[in-house]
Amino acid sequence: MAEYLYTKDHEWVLQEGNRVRVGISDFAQSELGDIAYVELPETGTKVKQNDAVCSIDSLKSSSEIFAPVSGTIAETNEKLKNEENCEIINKDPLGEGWIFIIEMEDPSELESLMNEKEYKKMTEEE
Amino acid sequence: MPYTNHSGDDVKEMLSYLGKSEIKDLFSSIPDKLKLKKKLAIRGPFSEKELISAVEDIASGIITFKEIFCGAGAYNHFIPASVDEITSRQEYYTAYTPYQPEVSQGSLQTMFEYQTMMAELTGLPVSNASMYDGASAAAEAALMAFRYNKRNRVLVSGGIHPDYLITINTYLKNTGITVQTIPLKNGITDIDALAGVDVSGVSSVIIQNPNFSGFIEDISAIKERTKDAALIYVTNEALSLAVLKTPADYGAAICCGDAQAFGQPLALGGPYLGFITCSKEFLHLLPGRIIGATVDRQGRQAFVMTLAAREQHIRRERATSNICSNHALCAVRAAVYLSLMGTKGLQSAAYLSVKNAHKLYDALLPLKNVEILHTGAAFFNEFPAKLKVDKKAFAGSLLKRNILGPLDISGHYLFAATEMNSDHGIELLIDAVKEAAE
Repeated sequence: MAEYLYTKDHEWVLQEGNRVRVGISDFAQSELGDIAYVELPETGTKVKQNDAVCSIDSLKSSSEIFAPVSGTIAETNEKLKNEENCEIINKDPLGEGWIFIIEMEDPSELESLMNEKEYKKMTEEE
Repeated sequence: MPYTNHSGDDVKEMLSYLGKSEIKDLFSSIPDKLKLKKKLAIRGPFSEKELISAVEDIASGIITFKEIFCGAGAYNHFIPASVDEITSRQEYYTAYTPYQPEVSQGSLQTMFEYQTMMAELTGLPVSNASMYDGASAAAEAALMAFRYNKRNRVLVSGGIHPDYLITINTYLKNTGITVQTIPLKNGITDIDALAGVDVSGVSSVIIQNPNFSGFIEDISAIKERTKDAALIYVTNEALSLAVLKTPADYGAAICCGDAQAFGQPLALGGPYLGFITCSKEFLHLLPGRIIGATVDRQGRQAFVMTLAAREQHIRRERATSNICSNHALCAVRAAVYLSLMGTKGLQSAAYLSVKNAHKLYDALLPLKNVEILHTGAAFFNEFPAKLKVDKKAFAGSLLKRNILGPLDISGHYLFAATEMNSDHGIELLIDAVKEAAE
């Protein structure tokens, strides 16, 4: 089974063949608090690694979500279109609360990401 | 709030901290040619007694007209005395939206009620807690539609208030969004001209109703021809919302304009009250403050600013708008006015305005030196007419009768009436028009 990889911007990445599923980490959701709104990207949009893809609002803050790898937005989590469902990001950030899927351009970019242990170390130092 | 001036020592200390020798050094980044070199022509300094006398001199020259037949976005509607009484309470008397819910429940609830009433009047479920004025609200609405559908063409009816059009053009000038004006025919937006316009890729269609000349637009026909572009319904006579079909009935995505009619006095041009309401899909694209109802820890109803993550103080350069203040006190006035008038009161004021405007129309129609424009077109409380009058004589005839006459627009006059006009006032205006005949 593929393992969760992380970015320094607190996105998680799960490889599914040539695609990656992306969400925000448990640490990120707990820092943000109640998620109120996700501005989902358009499918078909081309993104470069580290580009801002979309934004996520909690009641008192707004953060951008960055592309962990380059590619094309293949799918978005339709459930999040309904604001009342946005709490799934708080409840199950690594599962039901995924945000979008990218069709990868260059899977070698995954090597630049952190594994769970490295990410945990980073958040503990923050 | 006490105002504490800086002492000379304070100024010196701050300048030395900054490494500057004079206050004018702080403005060194402003090009020299833009700086005012002469002193402002302000009289004084005065003692308090002299100041009062000087202000009284100015006040004595101000004319308060007995009858007003001028509108064009500023209407002389009745304001119950209790609006002033209630809104001048210290708790309400601020231009700002209160950030601290723990000490501002009264103001927040009043603004929440304002939003509710604006939503009811326009038929659209979402309202913000006010904008500066109708013109900036219309420009912000165009930007909302652009953020929603990412299309970069805006169609604006030629029937929109000219100031609104200028403001829309200014706001959109550097955004890459183009503005195309649809001409008028027989006083209203020309549906045939619209049929000739390529509507694919149009972000929004902006229609004012009643339009600047007071005519009722055929909005259903416009909506039908502009398909999936966002319909932005603008009004600068908010009282019309009390009796006309709601913007939501026409399929409007956004309604905006000026709610000066709701308890805002006519005072040297303002402050007025911009408003925006919208359908639910536009909620997160709405600029400005939104007040929400919630419950506190003990389950009691409470009011707070909500969805603030859209706004500039949180989202910074990605904010939905750079509007970071609003007309909270004017919104409070509107809420108080609307709740005092009630549905029936509001409708009566609207019907009386329409009735008086039509009485005036009927009285002007037979006059030899009057040519009413676009006769037969339905109008609300305003209509245009050409007058064969000596302008100077007309101004004198009006002033003599203590009347503020119709607005002089190049080539014609725009007549407005409200519930404040009397039959006697209309007779006096007719006399003035006759007297000044060329």
